[in-house]
Parts: sequence; C-alpha cells; structure tokens
Amino acid sequence: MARICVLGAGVAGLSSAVNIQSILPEADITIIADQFNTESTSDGAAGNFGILLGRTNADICRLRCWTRDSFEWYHKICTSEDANIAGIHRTHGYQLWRTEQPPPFHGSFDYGYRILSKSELLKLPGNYKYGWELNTLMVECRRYLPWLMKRFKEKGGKVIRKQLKNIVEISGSYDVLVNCTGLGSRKLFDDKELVPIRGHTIRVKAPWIKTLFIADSDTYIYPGQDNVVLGGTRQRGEEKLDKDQRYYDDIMARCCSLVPSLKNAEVEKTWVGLRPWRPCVRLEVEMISVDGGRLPVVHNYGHGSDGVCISWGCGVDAANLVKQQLTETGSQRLVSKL
Amino acid sequence: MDRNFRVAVVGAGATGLSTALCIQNRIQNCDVTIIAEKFSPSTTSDGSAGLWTPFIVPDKQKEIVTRWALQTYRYLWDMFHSEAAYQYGVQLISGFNFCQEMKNEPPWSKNVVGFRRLGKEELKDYPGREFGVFYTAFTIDVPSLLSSFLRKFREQGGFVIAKKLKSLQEIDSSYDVIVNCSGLGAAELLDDATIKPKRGQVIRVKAPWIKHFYIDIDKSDDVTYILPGVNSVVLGGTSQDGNNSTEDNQADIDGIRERCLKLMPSLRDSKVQGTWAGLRPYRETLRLEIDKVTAGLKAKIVHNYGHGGSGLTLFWGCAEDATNLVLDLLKSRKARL
Repeated sequence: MARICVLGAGVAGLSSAVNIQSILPEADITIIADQFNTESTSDGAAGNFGILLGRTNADICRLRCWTRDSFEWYHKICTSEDANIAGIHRTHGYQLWRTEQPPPFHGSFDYGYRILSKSELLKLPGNYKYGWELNTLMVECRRYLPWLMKRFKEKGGKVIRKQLKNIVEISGSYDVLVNCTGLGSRKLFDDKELVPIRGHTIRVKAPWIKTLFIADSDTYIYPGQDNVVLGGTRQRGEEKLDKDQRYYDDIMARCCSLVPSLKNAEVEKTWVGLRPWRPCVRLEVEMISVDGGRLPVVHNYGHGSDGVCISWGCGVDAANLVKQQLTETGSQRLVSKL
Repeated sequence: MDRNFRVAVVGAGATGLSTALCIQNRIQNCDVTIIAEKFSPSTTSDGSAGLWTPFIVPDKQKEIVTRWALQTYRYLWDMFHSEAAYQYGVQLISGFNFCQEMKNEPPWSKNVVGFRRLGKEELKDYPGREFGVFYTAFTIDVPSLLSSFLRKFREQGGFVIAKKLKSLQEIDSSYDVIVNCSGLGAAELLDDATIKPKRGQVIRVKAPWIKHFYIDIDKSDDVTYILPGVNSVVLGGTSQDGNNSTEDNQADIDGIRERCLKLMPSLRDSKVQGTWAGLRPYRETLRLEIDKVTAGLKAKIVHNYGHGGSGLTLFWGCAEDATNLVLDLLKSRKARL
C-alpha cells in the first residue's frame, strides 16, 4: 500500500490530499503541517474566484485546466445543499478601472463577465472610465478548509501536527511526498524564486453589502457569508506580520470612497498575511536523493494571489502526478530498506 | 396668508412617510402632520421584503408607473452612494427574475443597470425555466427606512398623531389638504370598494450566504421568491385575491418552503426567524390624483394609494407626484386669497 505524505494543510495541501484519496482509495495518506485552519495563509484570503493574467507567468494551457476544473468543482458545491457549510456562494458585482483592459482570464470560466456601458459607469461609484460586471463565486477557507479536512479524515486520512525543518525527518517513511508548503518551500526545498507579497485585510460586519466591488485591482469589497472582506495591499518582499494600523486606515478610506455606507461597518478582525508568489506556480515532480534512494516529490506551491481560486484544479493535477509516480515505479517502497 | 399651509398625511407606511417627507422638503411654510393607526414595525410595508421590481405593472398605467419606478430607482442609487444607505436600509443587490415568456423588454429595462436576458447556458442551472432576466436593483430593510423617514420628519418639525380615523370628516376642519396614503384603509375611510387585499405569506430565514434575489413565476401561477434583506432572507410567496387573513397559513408556508428549497438546496439549513402574512393593497389602477368628487369636505384631498405589491418600487416617484399635486393646490389656494 503506497504511503503518501502531503506537506501543508492550507487549501493546496487539503485539495491535493482529497484528490489523491479520490483516485487512490487504497493509499495511506498523511498530512503533515504546522499550521491549520485559522493559522493558515489560506484562511486570510477572501477567496474571490478571479484571476488576471498580468500577475502570473504560468503556462496558459495548464492555467486554463486548473481554473476550469476548480470552477466546475466550486459550482457543483455552490448549487448543492452543502454550499453554506462548505463556505462557497455565488457573488455579483463590479470591477472598475481607469483605463481599458483586456478581458479577464477568469471570465471564460466563471458565470460570465460583461463590459459595462457608459451609462452604467455613471451610476457606479467613482469616476471610472472602464469596468466589468462580474458574476463569480467566493470560496471562504474559514469553512472550506474544515469541510475538506472532514472529508479527508472520514476516508481514513491521517494528520500530524509537526513543523518540519528538513525533509530527511520524514523521507524514510513515505513513497511519495506532495509539497504544498507555500512559502515554507524557501527553507524546505531551497526555492529562491519564492517572494512573499504581503497583504492586509479587514473583515467588517456589514450585512447590507451584497455586491462586490474591485477598483484599480487593489481596493476590494467582497461580501462573505459572515462578514465583508475589505482590502487590500500588495507589498512585494515585505515579511513582517505586525499589524500596522496605517495600512488598515488606508484600506478603510479607499473602500469607503467606493461605498460610503461602509463607514457604519463594525470592524470584526484585521489580518495580515504573505502571498506565496512565484514567477510561475510550481506543479511538477522532482526526484530527490535521500538515504541512497530516490524519492519523488510532487510540488504544488507558489500560487501567489491565486491559491484559493485554482486550488482544486491544482489538486487534481497533483493527484494525477502522484498516481503516475506510483504506477511507473510500482507501489513498493522507493527508498532502500536498510 | 398669515398662517402656514396645513397638510395632513394619513398613513405611515412607506407611501405615507415618503410623501410626508417629500412635502416637508419641497414646500415652504407648510406644517405637515402624519396621522396613522399603525406605525413601523406594524405597517404592511414593514413585513414586505422591500424589493424594487416593477414587474407587475397595470397596463393602463404602464408609462406613469414606469416613471414612478425609475424615479424611485434613481433615489435608491443616490442613497446607495451616501453613508445613509445603512440607516435607511438600502441594499444594492442583483438577481434573477424567471418568467414564462417575454416578447419585449419591459419599458424600464433600458434605465436599469445590468438588465439582460438570461442565456441558454445560464438557464441550464435552473431546470424547467425557459426565460429569465438578470438585473441590478435594491432590497430595502423597511423598518430601517421607515424609522429613518420618521426621525427625519420629526427633526424637520413634523407632527405625528397616532389615531385610527373612521372618516376624513374627523380631521377636515384642521387641514387645508389631506393626503390619503391609507392603503387598504381606504376601503373603510373612503368607502372605496375597488381596493382589495392580495394576501402574501412569507417566511424569514437566516441565510447570509445568499447574495442574489430570485423571483420565479411558474406555469401554475405559484409565485416563488428568495429575497435577501439586510439581516434575513424573505422566502415567498402567495398572491391570494380577496383573502384578508393575516394569520399564517401552514399549507402556504409548506408550499413556499418546498418551492424555495428546489430553487436553492442550501436553504435546507437555514434557520427560520419568523413567518408573516400581509395584505397587499391592490387596486386595478393606482390612485394618485386630486379628489374631485368627495363632497362635504372643506379640505382638499390628494390620493396616493393602491400600490399593490409595488409599494417599495414606486414610493419615491409617487411621493414626488403627490407633492406636485399638493403644490398645485397651494398655488390655487394662494390665487383665490
């Protein structure tokens, strides 16, 4: 029986683990992570399903697959009885720009976007010259991660809370590793291409806000199930996680200028986190040498701002790579038993 | 004229309060008094989902109703752009309106943001529905709207009297103009047999993950709707002619629940906050005019009632027009003096 270890319990790790279980029901799967649920980077994300090409150099073909597979999955859950438990709901709103833009990448995969007319732009906030109506959904990790974890455990998945300093600590115990450690891969796999991009969000109680707004791509208002997420910042290379009030004040001011009634919103929680950005997502197999043997590592990290959006599709891809590794080399242990 | 013009507004629902406020805002040297039996949160308006949607428009009044609706739409957009949207309970929301067929776009559609027919792909998600439109509108938390209207009205010097009137004679000598916004109350107050209740049963649930409205009138004329308000989602509904019971009906409630669950399975988990049955003040034509007929009264009467299920769609446009009529009466009074 193949022994698989998934490193990381964020949305990438859980999505990979659940997918692996689905195509390898006999496999023994363990998630090893030091951050779960509210401790994870995924938890801070608003979870808006939206992806623009400008920020990633990913292989378009693969990105299409990941995006399409992800949306199909979220849509299935969104229209089911479990929508609210899994934390996925449909959204509608507007993305406003100062200048004309190429069509949004995600527009081909979600419920559809539409270029706004001049008269519509006049009714909408600000003096924006160009914009889209967006019809998409929101995947809220506060509920989605525990929902995935429940499925994983119900099918026999195991979980170990542990902070790994080095792969050799566990390499002898597994046949395949699935690396979903995000920024953790800087140390664990010596990836020098990873760059943290710091982001701040404010979650407010504003139940009268049912419409999403994004302005200039960096100011956003996302209506979640329990609160509204206001953001944001995009600070490349910054790593300190102190909550500098000036950034939150600035976010609040920008959001209030779009929707003035937000001045009445009660702040529930502020957050700061690091997007695990990489010039392109690393989703591939690497053979590493350990203890005189070779151990396949399926990498699935470096999703930047798009982690939640493409998580399911990446999980499907990662699971297929895992299966491939096991089929090619048989399900015996790959590391010599000495 | 050495005293202020005295106007009484009868009724304190959405129609009465918006009319009273509009008169206050636009007419100088005018004392406005609201006289009503019921105030928020006990009015018919309070129980409604507060949806702006001019779908059911009496053919005879297509143009004028469209105008009132669009005036109200603009008012709501202005409200959205202000901080006060919160106090007034104005919520920008978009959604789906399924219909059996649509030969032409409704006359108001060009002025409504995002109005479009649903495509075949989209309709696949809603089996059994062949046509539908999507547009951006509003739902209003009516208790917030009414309490804000009343507060503003009082701040601006308005008077409020809680009293059930049996006839307009009771107040005739105290006012120059009476604006009748009594809704169904007009049946008794004016002996108007043409205003009739159309009963609507609703269920309010907690379902904060629902961010769109859904309206569906299926082949059997059962109306189904899911209308998210600020703190609850209104599930409905019924449209029962001549039924004047405000008691909850379990068969209606069960039917609503079943139809809404089919449309949105995740409602299964939603917690019920309450049920309610209200009487839409339905009239074949919405009566917004100066009364030329009522004899034996010194005061002039302006009518503004019979909004059916469209009260929250038309209120501001109607309030402005009613105010125009009051202004006309003021001018002709000045001319006579």
